[in-house]
Amino acid sequence: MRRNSLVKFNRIQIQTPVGKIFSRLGYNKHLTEIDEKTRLNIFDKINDAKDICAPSACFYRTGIKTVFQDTVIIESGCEIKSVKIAELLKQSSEIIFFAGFVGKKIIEKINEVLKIEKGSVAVVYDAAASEIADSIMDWLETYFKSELKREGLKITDRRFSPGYGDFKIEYQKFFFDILQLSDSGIELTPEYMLVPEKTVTALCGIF
Amino acid sequence: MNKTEFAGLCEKKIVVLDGATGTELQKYGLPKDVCPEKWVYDYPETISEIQKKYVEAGSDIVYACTFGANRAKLSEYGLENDLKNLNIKLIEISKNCSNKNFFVAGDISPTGKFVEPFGDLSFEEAVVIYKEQISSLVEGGVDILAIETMIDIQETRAALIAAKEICDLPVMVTMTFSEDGKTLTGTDPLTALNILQSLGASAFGCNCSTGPEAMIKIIKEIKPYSKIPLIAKPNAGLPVLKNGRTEFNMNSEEFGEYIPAFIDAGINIIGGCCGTTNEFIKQIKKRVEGVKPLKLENQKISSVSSARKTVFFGHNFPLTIIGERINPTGKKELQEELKSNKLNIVRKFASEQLISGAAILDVNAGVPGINEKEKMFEIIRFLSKNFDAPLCIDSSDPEVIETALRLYPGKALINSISAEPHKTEKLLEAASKYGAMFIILPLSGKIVPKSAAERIEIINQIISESKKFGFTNLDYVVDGLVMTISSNPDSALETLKVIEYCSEKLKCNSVLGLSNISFGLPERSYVNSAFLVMAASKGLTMTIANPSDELLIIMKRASDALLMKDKNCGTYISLMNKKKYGREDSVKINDGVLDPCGLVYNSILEGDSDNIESRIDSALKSKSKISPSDLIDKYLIPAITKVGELYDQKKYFLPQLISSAETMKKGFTVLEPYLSKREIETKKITIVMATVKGDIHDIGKNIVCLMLKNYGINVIDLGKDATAEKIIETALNHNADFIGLSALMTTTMPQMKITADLLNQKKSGIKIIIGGAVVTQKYAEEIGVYGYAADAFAAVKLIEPGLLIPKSI
Repeated sequence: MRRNSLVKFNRIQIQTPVGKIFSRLGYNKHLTEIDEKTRLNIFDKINDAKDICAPSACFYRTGIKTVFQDTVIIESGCEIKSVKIAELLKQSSEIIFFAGFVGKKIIEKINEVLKIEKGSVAVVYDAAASEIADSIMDWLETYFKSELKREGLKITDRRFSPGYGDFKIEYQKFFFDILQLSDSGIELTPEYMLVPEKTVTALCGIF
Repeated sequence: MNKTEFAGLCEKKIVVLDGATGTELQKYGLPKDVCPEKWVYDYPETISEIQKKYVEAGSDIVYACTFGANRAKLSEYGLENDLKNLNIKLIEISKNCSNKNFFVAGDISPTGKFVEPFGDLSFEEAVVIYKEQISSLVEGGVDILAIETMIDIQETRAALIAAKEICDLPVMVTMTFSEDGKTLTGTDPLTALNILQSLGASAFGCNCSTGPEAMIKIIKEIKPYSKIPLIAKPNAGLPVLKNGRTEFNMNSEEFGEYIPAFIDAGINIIGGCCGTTNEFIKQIKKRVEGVKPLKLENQKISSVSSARKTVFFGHNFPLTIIGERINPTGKKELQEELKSNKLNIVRKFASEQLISGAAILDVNAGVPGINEKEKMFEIIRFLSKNFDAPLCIDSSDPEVIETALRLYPGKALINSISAEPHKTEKLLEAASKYGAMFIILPLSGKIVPKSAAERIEIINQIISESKKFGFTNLDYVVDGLVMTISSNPDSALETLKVIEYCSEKLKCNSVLGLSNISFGLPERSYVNSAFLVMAASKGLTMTIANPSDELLIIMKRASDALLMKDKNCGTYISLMNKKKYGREDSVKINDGVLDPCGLVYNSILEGDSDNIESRIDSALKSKSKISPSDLIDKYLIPAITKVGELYDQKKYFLPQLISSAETMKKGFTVLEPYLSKREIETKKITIVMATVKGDIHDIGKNIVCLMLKNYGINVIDLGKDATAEKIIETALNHNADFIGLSALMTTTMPQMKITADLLNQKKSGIKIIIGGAVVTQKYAEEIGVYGYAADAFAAVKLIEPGLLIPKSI
């Protein structure tokens, strides 16, 4: 994993997180009673969603210059003001910025089925896309761990996304630029939201 | 060293590998951001000293420092043109590190890219990259090749195929398995073993992944299936932070204590990976000295694998179904789709067959006017990426099969090899090279041999030929050849004789293309199912069939149970339980008489929108002479209320709730023309829905809108990024009862308070309900709005507590 260069994965093989999708839809394995016809139908819709999603990702690894109590300064001189991030990175010498996306098509498909008032299908697509997006981020973390092990390094136990805690949503712009997300067809709204939905960004530390 | 010598070495003793290279080089000052191979080239004494210590500690094989010396990795440092020189020199350094006897392995690792179908790098490009490095390693004089730290089965296949095409050296392959026990692209150890040993790996195992404990489990798990020596190269535990530095948490003594367990698990080759040193190798050597490894006594089972799943089959397994539907023969719609480069029907057929019970998918891409080879690969790529089932490659063209086998990221089944000069040999050669199983079709020309004796003669002829390539009875499946009984009355009996011969004499697997038996007959499913049961009793192990045939599947499960292939009849019982469609809460059928109104109730309860219309129609025309409004009050509303209760009790989850609501809405639409004007004109509840200003996430809000509409609520949807002013103005203009606000971000949540404050100034009596990923009940209380809805149904309940249905209807 080289430093200071953007790495892109245009196609990622994600195991469909079926259990998580069912949980997101409110399925409780001890309580929910589901007949075979419904179960098969939901599986079919999950397969549909998986087929439509285009899991891809990118990351950028760089050094950390200094970590103060509420500020992290990275190698390029850019500052991240956040007590939470400073706390997360206090033992880290490097940082990884990363993003995962499921693509535009699945969002278009969800809107399409909503338009024809097929809410029962839309909720399954929506849950599947959300969980696949999460799985992409988990996949990236697994990738980082496996690659960094050879350097005798590991990553922080947690990842952190802009908009959570005191890590301001405005930092989405920083992610957008450093990960060159516009090249991946992602847009950033004036309110710092990434379009299409289900585009996730995060950072973690290397120590 | 040749392959036989390598196998002999692994049989004689437990072979000791070296320890870590990367973490050891760091101790010698390997800087960050440099190419390790080039740095070692410039400072050869570093690796030389490390490896000398390994040899002195007891390593039989050391890995040359060529880990990242492939074109893809070297190009990251602009060193791709030094590839040959670097590899040759690095081999030389390793060979000269000690005067003792040891072997040098050429180290081969991932390119850093993912190979199609799981990534962007084409399979052939990957093969070329590896061939280039392996050529240099061979020129440098390596004794053995070590493909290691692989995370993608397809890239591993590319490296192994490259090695086979360049030289005849033994190849050790190790993969890295994550905490979930799989590679990063989802391959489990058993599947990796199955694919790679068939493809010709000389030894297989894992490296780097974890500490020793987890790796022992993997070795234990795969040992019964291994025909080749097993390797373990674990890390020195897990990396931990000590005094500001990352270290591995296991010392050499602790590491050494795991070695006896590795021996018991059946290890043949062992070393260390990240964090291990020569002290760790000494510990290994001390404990394996004089110990003979366990013999290779793999279970005699036939199997095929996709990249993520292995399917075993044989006489002790339930009958395996190969789904037949991805075959354009006689399917105009599929033919047209394949011509127009779409794969929607392929996806649908794959999904349906797997859900219905197929374990393997047959794939045929033969459509006149298209390039079959390209189409086959396109389908294989698609199915490999999206489904876990192994594939059966079905074509009459040997070139199509060979190309498919090369590119398929698994161990496939060939359909089929018949006795035709040149073709038989070509296909057997391809099966051997790519490690595939194959179906033997007892045909030697265009005329189908009618008698079992004729077919058996051809079968034996092909088997005899296959032995030249080293195949055994575990590697093939004999097709009994099915002809219709409508024109050949004795054909079923002749086919059954072939099946019995396979089972009793050849002790091999057999398969039937089942549906041919009933061609030209009415109600074919009965004939097919009966024939399947008869063949199963003769020892049939597989069938190519349509698993959507419900009767066939039931008979298969029943046969499995009767033939003791279904422990405690578990699968049969489970299938029968699942077949009980409908719910216990449904209205029961009394004395065999269907209650049409009860069926309307059931439709809502079960979310059966397909039948609600006809059931309402039947109910209104029934003897009960129920009025439309009574049907609503006595059946539809109680049904949807029951659905709400079931959802609250978590007996229903979201898709069921919404399906029922959708069915309810469809029911109302059917009944509306029958209702009096007064009944319709009663005021409906109105809600203005919006995602707040600055927020562009509206999928969740749209789902809530649909749900509210299904419950008969009048919804005015303002979409996303709506200002407080616009929301309130719309609500006032439409005399709305409620405003529903959604926000997904903490940064946009304050817009809810702004809207609530502005509305308070208007003193309108309109109630606000809020929801969204980051919104909570507490926040709703803080900003003083009417309520918080955690999901779509909670929104319905907030609007109509108690009845759940607007009183207007």
